[in-house]
Amino acid sequence: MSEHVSTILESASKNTSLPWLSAFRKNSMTRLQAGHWPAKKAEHWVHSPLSRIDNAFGQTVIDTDEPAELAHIEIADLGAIRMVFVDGIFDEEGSTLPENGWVEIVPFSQANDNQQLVIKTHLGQALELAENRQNHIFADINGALIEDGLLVHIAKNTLFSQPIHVVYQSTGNSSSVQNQSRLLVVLDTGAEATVIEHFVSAQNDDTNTLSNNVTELIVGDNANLNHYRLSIEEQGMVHIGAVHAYLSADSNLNSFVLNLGSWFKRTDFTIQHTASGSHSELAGMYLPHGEEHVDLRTFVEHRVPHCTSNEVIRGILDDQSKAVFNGRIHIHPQAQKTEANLSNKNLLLNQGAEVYTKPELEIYADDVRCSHGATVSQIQNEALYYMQTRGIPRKEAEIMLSYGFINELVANLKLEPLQAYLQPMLARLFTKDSSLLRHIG
Amino acid sequence: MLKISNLKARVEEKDILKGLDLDIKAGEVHAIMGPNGAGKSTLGYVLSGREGYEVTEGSMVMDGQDLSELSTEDRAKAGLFLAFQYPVEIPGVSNMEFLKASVDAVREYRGQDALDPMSFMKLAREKSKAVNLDQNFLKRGVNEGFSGGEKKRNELMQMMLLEPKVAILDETDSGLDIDALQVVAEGVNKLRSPDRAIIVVTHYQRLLDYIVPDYVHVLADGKIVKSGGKELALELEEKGYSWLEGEAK
Repeated sequence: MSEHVSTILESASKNTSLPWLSAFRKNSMTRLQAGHWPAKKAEHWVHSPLSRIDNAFGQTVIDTDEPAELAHIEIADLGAIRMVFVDGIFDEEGSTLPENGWVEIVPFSQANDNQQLVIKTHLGQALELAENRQNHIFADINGALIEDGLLVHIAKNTLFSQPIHVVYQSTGNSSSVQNQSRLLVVLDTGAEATVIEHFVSAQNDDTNTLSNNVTELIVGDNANLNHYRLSIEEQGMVHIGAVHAYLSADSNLNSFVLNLGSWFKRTDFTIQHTASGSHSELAGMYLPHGEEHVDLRTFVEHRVPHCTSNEVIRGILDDQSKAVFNGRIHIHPQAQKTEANLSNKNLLLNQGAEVYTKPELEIYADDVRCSHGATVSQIQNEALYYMQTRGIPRKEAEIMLSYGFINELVANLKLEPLQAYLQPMLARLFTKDSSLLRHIG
Repeated sequence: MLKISNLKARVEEKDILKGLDLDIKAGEVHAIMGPNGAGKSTLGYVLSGREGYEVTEGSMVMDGQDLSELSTEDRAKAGLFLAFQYPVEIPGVSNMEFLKASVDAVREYRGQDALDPMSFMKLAREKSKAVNLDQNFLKRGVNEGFSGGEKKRNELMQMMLLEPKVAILDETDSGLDIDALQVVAEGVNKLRSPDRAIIVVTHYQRLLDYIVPDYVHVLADGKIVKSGGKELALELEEKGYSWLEGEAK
């Protein structure tokens, strides 16, 4: 057993928070003991810079008297309910609690008996269905160590339009075993909600700050969930996260994932179509710079007939950054009339950038429609030349073309305030010179 | 307006232009015809300074300015416009963004004020109407999903917006049906001006019934081998190009 796992188990055994979750925690610890620490030969860790994970885990205790300065994270005009967690601990002062009773948005640490029951019922529900369950060791680390989490529970037929903005701030002042965050979203039959997960970190050159997150989205019959996951941490972070979605009959999941920054960022996103009529849309982008390494692995499972899924993932890599994308679709024999699409396109802006992309389709039903495609390209010289022949300076044309690569995904965001928040941020990634950005969007 | 002297150019180690001479005065329309592979498209690429196309000898001067000293974008700003035979599609950049960036760049170069978004919108709508393109295309990616005819009309619209000194229309008629051809020809004819020189590069004589040239040149084996009035085009249609090979030698 790895030395990290022993340390984790030791911390876990001393964890006295959320006693009503002790059974869940024990289960996580058992799985952890049988699990495998990331290793070079493991397919699900292939191309990963394992030393970056190991080093981050090596940071056990931080000794500092200085409270970290926390930026106030808010998206203008969103009018959201904001729930803030700092290094995994609920920040009541920084949060705005909901006013009505149709929705339950409550930290685990403040859950009443009914809410505890909801949590106990659904925690791990989506995760347990994940293929190769034993590979999800960080989910079990999370399960063993969490001291708090957030429950978002929308009651039957409640169409809750106010966005729920969950902010996870990492200060860099916590140890690797501490910074664990957990989100459980449960939509009952016919419910609707919008949840935005937002990961940020303090400006930090220290490449040993780690955050480990698990999010589960349980979407009930005929329910609709709009989900956004913005991972905008600074360069120093090591972020390991997962989203596991469980889709019931006739449900809809619309998800948008943005991965910026980070020394190493690994996101596993699994979607289980467990009942007919469900539809999932996953739009994602990763934009690493410098020597950042971003890893996105998606898995869509069609277990039953008549479900549709669509995945559009775009990557833009600059400098010497690396990206890994693995998009897997598994269609069971009985999943007839499935429609599943997957597209991954990558743009390399620099000779030193590298991307490994692997779409995988495993289809056992014979009456389905599937498509998948993966491309790696550089800025098209022909397009660049065309723009130059119209007088557009080369530098500006390059930026318009680079931004254009992801523009489609950003332009399709339904939440206008979010679009207004992200567009300038993304544009600035390509250049700090605003005169070169004036024609974008 | 455009003086090309003994222009020699090559691409990928292959000599394509082998001493081309052309003198075009403002207000004139010249047609360049010739067999395939003669270098008709290459002329446009070389004039615009496309990467990979190397000038080995000779000169190209537009309105007194030596083009070889300017970058591609500066040649465009200085007034050179090339309408492509197969315009590229750019899905991520909208026609609107592209056109505005282009017009802003050219206006700035000419010392004109940039158009505010509203005025530009108005101008863009006006011009798209003039070329029969539905305004909605402005929101879509550049040339995205366009038919050949629509792409050619987009080229024409850009020419209208940029008001160039020298316009080279590279096989603007290829692939168009007669209706589309007439729309394009009408547009080009409206752009004739005493301050402007237009070069129509074409493989087919038919276009020249609609855009009547002042002079017709035949480009064969990298050189202008024969020049004449508009009757030359008819002669070529009748006889083909092979009779010129004797003359070229």
